[in-house]
Amino acid sequence: MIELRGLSKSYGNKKAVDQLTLEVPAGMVVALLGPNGAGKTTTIRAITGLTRPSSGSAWVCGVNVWDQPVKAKALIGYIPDRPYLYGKLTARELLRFVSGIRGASAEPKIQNWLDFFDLSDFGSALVESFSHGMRQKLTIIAALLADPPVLVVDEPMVGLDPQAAKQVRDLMVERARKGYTVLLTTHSMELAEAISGQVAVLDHGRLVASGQVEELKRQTQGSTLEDVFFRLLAEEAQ
Amino acid sequence: MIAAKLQGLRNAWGKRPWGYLLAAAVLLAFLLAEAALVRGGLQALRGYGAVGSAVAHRLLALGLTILMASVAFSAVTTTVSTLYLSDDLTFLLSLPLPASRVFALKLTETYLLTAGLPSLLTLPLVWAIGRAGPWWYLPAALGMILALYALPVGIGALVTVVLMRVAPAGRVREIATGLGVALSAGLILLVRSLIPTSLLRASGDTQFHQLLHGFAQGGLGPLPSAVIANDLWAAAGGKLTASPWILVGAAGLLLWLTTALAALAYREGWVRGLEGSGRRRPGRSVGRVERLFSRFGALGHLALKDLRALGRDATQWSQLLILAALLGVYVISLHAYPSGLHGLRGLLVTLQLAFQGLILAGVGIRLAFPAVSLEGAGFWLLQSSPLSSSLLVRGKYLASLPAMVALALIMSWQSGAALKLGAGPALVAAAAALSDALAVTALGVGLGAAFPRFRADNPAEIPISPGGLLYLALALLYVGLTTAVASVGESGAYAGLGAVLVLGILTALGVILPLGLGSGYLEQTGALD
Repeated sequence: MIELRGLSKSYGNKKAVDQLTLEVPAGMVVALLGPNGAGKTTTIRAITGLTRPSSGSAWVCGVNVWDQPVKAKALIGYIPDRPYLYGKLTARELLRFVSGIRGASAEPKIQNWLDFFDLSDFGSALVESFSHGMRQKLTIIAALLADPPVLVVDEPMVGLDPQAAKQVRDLMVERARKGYTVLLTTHSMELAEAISGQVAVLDHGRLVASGQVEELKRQTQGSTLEDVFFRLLAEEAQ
Repeated sequence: MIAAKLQGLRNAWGKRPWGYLLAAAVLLAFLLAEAALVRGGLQALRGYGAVGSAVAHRLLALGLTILMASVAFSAVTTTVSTLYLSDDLTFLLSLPLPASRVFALKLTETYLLTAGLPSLLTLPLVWAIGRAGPWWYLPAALGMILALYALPVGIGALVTVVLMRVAPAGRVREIATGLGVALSAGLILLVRSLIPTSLLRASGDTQFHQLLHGFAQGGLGPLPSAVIANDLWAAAGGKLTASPWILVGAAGLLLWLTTALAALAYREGWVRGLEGSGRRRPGRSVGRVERLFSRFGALGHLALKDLRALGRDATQWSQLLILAALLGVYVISLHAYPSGLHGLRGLLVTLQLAFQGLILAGVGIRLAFPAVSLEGAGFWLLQSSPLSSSLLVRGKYLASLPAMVALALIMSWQSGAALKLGAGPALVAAAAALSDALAVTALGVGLGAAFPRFRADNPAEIPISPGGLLYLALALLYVGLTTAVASVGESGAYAGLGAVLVLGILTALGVILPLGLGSGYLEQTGALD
């Protein structure tokens, strides 16, 4: 599970995340929602050890991310919104590199994953020749290769074709069903409503609401998650 | 567009004003020292009368030729990066602006990246030559220098634009780098034929004066650098000739032509050299080399990844060619040393050690300093992996070290052989060279990690930063220290032993402190924030 305790991050005078306390339980997909600039990516970067919080702490499976970063990172698979990868490695070399620095031997797994995402024919091609969607698939494989108990996903569907998007969606649900922790940010309300057991809404770096989708619908009298989202933001603005 | 770039610079200044102030101070101190050195050298040469003055003329021409050749070397590869691979190019070309304006901006960027530093290094030279000249000397000299370096930039850019069409798909960077090799080979030959090492063969005053006279009478023919050197001397004497303005016109015309051709090439879809690199590589299964590296755990995987990137990225492996060119110039020049200079051996050893250190510092800024920044936007992959920042920095250090150590030891071995050093002095010199390699590489990697530039548009930009200048200043300081210690150590066996011990302590500090600084920075901050 993931636990955020009073997490704040400031850039100069601007507070990107403000005293965020949130629990992401294992066994369900939790969606972090919010408008652009709400602090979703900063939160995710703090959880994955990429951005040091100004105050507060982030815990993954009981490990403080910034006190024991190496141990924490071994527990997390991270899929960023922009799939920057080493262009001068081939897909297979890149995946072997990732599994190597994670201390795992993964040759058969690599082939299985390449087959799964229909990338087998491109395994020996340099990553620089890949399209955005293919790189995104490779990033997803890199995150899942070591089978980490926590998956943190930032805008997973950007650039994916419909079939791959469905595969990724099913993967997240399947991992949650197995008891793993899955946290994702998305602007797609349909996706969040379809796969999330719980949602958390951020605005201006603060937590506006969190809970199960049906519960939030009752609270705000919204018929869809999109309704809920807009009503919560409108309330916050008042 | 220029306003946006300048605003970007202002914003960068606002983010780290002290870093930039420090860099400016270091640069200013360096330029002042250079000016004082040149001024002193000119005064010394005046002692030889007309011959001394002629030698000064030729040395200026030689210096300008070498700087011009170095601009030409980097112009071709830099143009590929700025004119065709810049991150902002797609955005700029999508704006409702004439393509020629976009390419003019990119060409200006190329000019600043390749000729900026050589122009700055030339300023103290021209100041020392004409400080007693007329009021218009300095602006005129500045115009001449800018035009002189614009020529190789224009030629390099023009060659690149043509290469974009004629080079096989996906191979343009390799071919551009090949041209760089040809240029560097030319540079070696030029330096070999012009450098006054024969002066050191003189066995007496008469022969020395004869050789000096002979050297002074030599010429570089119609090379633009030689023409401008002569014009600079004339301008310092109050005489403004016509030839520099022809050069200014030619440089302007060349740059305009290149801009127009680049815009035309873009409009006509002429560019194909960078399209579809799509080469397949073998290696479906794990090879022997990979198995070997994987035995060293995460460090081995990191090193293998860096080696693969180095071998496949022309902008990276071309840096090794610069190293080879420098080594070639050094070794060839060493063999010109005479055998009968027993009285001067101590001085020559000290000079060689200092020179070797300078070369190492110069190579380090291209090889070690960018090591962390070259991770680029893909750095998140390492940051989010279960790797400590110290392991990451150590991995980068170990990957940069073999080339630096090999370079240092080859230079040390060659200079020891050329100067016929005994076992003791040779050992001290080798220890100093090794110390320089270990510490200068650590300085490069450590400061490169503390001042990373992951978002640099191309690798050539990475060292042009406060961190890069700080690295140069500290590397030169370290080289000065080790040179001084080794010089003392040449005087006897006990002094030699003491020097090796001191060098050991200096090396330990020179390695541990910068690497600790670099990994501490990466640990404390999200480096991509």
